Amino acid sequence: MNKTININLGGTFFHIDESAYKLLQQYLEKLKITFSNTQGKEEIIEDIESRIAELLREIKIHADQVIVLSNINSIIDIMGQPEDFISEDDEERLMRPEKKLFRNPEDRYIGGVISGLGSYFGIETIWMRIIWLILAVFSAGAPVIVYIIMWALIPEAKTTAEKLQMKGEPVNISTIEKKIKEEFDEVSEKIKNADYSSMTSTVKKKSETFFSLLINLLGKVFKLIGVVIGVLFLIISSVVFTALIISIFSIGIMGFYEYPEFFANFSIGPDTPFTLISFLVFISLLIPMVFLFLLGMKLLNPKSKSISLLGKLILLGIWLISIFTFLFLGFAEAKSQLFTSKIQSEYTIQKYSSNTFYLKQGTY
Amino acid sequence: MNIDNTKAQMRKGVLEFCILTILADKDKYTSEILSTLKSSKMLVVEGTVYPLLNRLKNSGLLEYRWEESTSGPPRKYYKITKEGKLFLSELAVTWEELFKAVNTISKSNHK
Repeated sequence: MNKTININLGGTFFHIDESAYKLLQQYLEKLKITFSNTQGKEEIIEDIESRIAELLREIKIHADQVIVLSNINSIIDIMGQPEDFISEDDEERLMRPEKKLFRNPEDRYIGGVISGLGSYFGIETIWMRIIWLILAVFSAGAPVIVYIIMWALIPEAKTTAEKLQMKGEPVNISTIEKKIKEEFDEVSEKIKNADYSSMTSTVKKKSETFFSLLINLLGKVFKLIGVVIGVLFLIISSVVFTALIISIFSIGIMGFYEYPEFFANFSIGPDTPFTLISFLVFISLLIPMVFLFLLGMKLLNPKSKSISLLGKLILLGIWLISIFTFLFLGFAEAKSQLFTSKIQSEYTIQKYSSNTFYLKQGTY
Repeated sequence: MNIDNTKAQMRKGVLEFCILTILADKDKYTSEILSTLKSSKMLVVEGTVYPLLNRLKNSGLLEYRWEESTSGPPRKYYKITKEGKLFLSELAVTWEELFKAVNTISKSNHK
């Protein structure tokens, strides 16, 4: 047994099964999102709705027939998925993330202003809060007034699309679907908790919230540590990177035209060209820095794009080659500098009165 | 690279041309356009047509009127405009050239 719902679709009246209704609604919602940036979206959606109504009329044989889930599924098969409707240039426009300032209702103490600002400027909310608190303390509470004004002026991110825009994530079908799923999970979690709490004592509920808070807090602390390490990695790698670039340029310019004999001291030996040495040093220091940089990026944003596995393997290969070339050159040079010699000389020792002779070895 | 995606992109490029051609001599309502496209296997999913029709209408190549129907709510009849006809004739030339070019290339490749 199922509930039915009466709907008016494209000017026609339909009895529709509850699950079918949900699917249809979801589909139309998806359409709205897909065409949210398209000119004339109301008209497109209206036309599609009336086409769906037309198709449903074909399915409906008698007046009392209820539209069921399989009917809607076959109609979606005919109509296709909204993401396939969009042409290439529209898609590009959709992909471009456009950040907007909203208040964040999901992460807030008072009105979600600070976390909204944090998302807008790409700063972790916790830092924004700390900065705000420091400002509030030092300026005798002026930010409080600013906060109230902003609370009044900045709209709250209500729809899924707005929440994505707040975070600067591209508003497209897959991100919206993900977001809706997250929200759904959250709601179902709440419902579960509600049922639970009515049956169990409030003490348990409180301890549960305490533990979830603790876990939440721990999670945030770890995230923060990760961010700090990530920033550190980025700084180290970019400093070393800059230093390397500068040094290879200065070696190139100074080394050969002004002080060749000065730099020759640092070379492995006269047989190895100095350019090769500096190039090898450059490569073998640069590649680890590239990896450090990528690691830092990953720590700051787990979703950030990295290079492909093949790219990593190629970099690793080049690095190993340069290291081994270095070793080989070093050994070869050492070998060429190595020599053995034998010295033979004869002395006639005069006869002395004492029976003990002392020999002193000098260096050659 | 996804083959379905490439196919869809190829189709989309000529779809506007096809819609204008279908409407060249006779006004038609949306479902008629859809069935012509589908019977010639030009269309996989119907939804693709709606944004295109809307764009063609917004750029003045098509216009529409409502007409009562005996079997349901009023129907949207599309009609090609003067500009649309001009546009179509230019597209037809381009299509002809493109068709020849692709044919020449694939023939010379098969030799």
